[in-house]
Parts: sequence; structure tokens; C-alpha cells
Amino acid sequence: MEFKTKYKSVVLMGKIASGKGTQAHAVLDAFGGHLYSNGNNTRAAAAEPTNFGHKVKEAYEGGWLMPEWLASYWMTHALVSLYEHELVVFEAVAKKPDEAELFHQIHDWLGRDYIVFNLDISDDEVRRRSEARSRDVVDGQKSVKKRLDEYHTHTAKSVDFFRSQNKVIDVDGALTPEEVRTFIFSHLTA
Amino acid sequence: MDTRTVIFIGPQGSGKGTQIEKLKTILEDRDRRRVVDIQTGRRFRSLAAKQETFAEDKIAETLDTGILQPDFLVSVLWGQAMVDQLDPKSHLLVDGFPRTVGQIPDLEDAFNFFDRGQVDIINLETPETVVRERMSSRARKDDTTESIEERLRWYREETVPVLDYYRSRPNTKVHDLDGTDTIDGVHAQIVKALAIE
Repeated sequence: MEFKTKYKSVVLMGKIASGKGTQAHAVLDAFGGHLYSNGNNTRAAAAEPTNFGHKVKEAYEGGWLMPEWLASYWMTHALVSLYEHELVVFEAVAKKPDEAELFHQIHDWLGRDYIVFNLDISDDEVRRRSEARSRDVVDGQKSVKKRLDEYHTHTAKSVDFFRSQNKVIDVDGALTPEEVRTFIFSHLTA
Repeated sequence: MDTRTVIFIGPQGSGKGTQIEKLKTILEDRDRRRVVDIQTGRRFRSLAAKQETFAEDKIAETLDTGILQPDFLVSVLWGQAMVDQLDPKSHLLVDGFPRTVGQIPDLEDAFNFFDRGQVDIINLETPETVVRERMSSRARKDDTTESIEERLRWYREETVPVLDYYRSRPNTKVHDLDGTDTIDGVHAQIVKALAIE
């Protein structure tokens, strides 16, 4: 790999359209490791021809939220069993403070160092970017409002929790993707 | 027979593991469908014996001290068993969780996901004096005096409130049984309580 970092887990947090996915892939391309995404886990499980797979598929296609125990199970399993010695890049994890506390507790128990990049953009910038990209239904006006509300109600508290543990690096998400990447890489290689 | 979900609760040394094995045998014999038994204590001992990963080493270090393993490790053990083995027709026998009130919400969430609303609790009532005698005679490596006392304290303070939760949970029957009876005697009580015969 092109670069090396002392961190075993890298977390990208931020509002919708803040560039988490872009930066997660940039980190993976340069540092190697695995992408951890609940969306990918859900899709993979839904394709399994098992009772569990059928239940997940039912929930996924019905538009229901995945149960919290399942998100916790996947995250714990990944950290404790699957990727013990490898870098894991987390995109959109710890959407709620309980999950953030669990994330921290597992890392603390494992002695696994992690860092959180908080990609900060204004709500107006979220609306502008979502409208411009119109990637799918979640970029619609109503959905963007709902997800912004969820961010302010829950995810902002997760960021606060990580901040209280001195794990957060704030990034100006309004910069260009290249500028954001350079900033993130400088912290990862420091 | 309806699909059964049975949680065993009782202090260490109350015979939960033995009784699960006996119940599993007769369920498999009489009902001919899969019985999934999840005993987290046994799974922890098996991981501690492997010591191939950092987590397994750490479990091995703390297993003999009587310190309870963190909730997230307990959850990942039962989560993995349910994900890999549970189907709608199988019976489910559980020992080792929930051990604290804090472990209940995740388990309820999972029961809801797997459509397991109806639950039987087997409460093996066993006085501490009997537990101490039994545990000092079984000579397992993790049964030191300190760890026995620590686990008894934990049971009193953390697990007994779990029983209170289940007493008020809808679709739940708590069966208070005499854990001081012989192995066969306790087994007979369980079979009767669950109306298996």
C-alpha cells in the first residue's frame, strides 16, 4: 500500500452528502483494509439462502430499519473476529450514541486505536449538494429533511461522545474532495 | 408441540447446563426437530481454550477470576448462534444470558426479529449454601473461592432483577423450580412445567 497509519479503525462521520463515501474509498485505496458498511452487510445477508437471510431480505425490501442488535452484532463480530489485525474503515457507523459507546468500549477492550473524522458541512450545503446529485430517492427534499433531523437528534450526539473521548478530528467538508483527502491523510500518517 | 423458547436462570452450580442437556435429549427424541442450545459459559470456555486471537487470550485471562465478560462479547456469541442456526421450527434453549437487565433489550430485539414472542423461564431456585457445596466439589479450574463468591454476588445483584423483568413480561411463564432436588427430580419438574409429556 502507498501509505501506512497507526490507527486500526478509521471512522468517517458527517451529514448526508458530506463526502463520507468518497473519503472512505480514498482511504481504502491508499491505506488498504476493509470497508465496514451496514448497507453492504444487509445486502450480503439478504442474499443468503438461510432463514436469517430471508428475514433480513423481508425487512430490507419492506423498508424497515434493521434491528439494533443486528447492527451491534455485525460491528462486534467484525472487530473481534473478522478483522482483528487489519485496518477497517467505517462509513456511516454509530448513527446513535449507544452505538458510539459500544464502538468505543470494544476498541478500548481490544486496545485498538481509532480516529473519527467529522466532515462538517452546513444544512444549506447538504440541501444544495443533494439537489445537485439527485442520486436516488434519498436525495429527495423530504428524505433529506428527515435525515438531517435524524443527524441532529442522534448522530450529532455520537460525535459529541467521540469528542469527549478525544477521538474527533473536525474537517471542513466544504473544501474540495482533494483538499479534504489531503487533510485526512496528513492526520492518518502523522 | 409448539416451538419453544426456554431461558434457564439460576446461580452457578444450580445445574442449568446438565438440565439443558437432558431437556435437549428428550425434545430431540420426541419432537424430531432441531434444538438449538446456546450456553454462553460453555462457548466462552471453548474460546478460552483456543487462544488463537487477542480476544480469546483476553477471555482466558479473565475466565478464572469470576469477572463477567463484557456484554458485547456475550451478545456476539448468542448473535452468531442465532444467525447461523435458528429457524422458525427449531426449539431454542438458552443459558448464560440475559445475566443483567442491561442485556435484555438486545435479546428482546432479536426475539422480535426471529418471531419468538412466547418465552418460558426455568428458574432453578438453589440456596447459596447448596451452590457453594456443589461448586467446591466439581473442581473446575474457574471455581476458586473468590470467583464463586464474586459470581454469587453478581447473581444476587444483577441477575435476580432479570427474573423480575420476566415476571411482568407478556407471553411469558416463569417456572420457579426446586434446584436442590436430584438431577432426575429437577428434570421431571422441568418436563412437567413445560408440559412436554
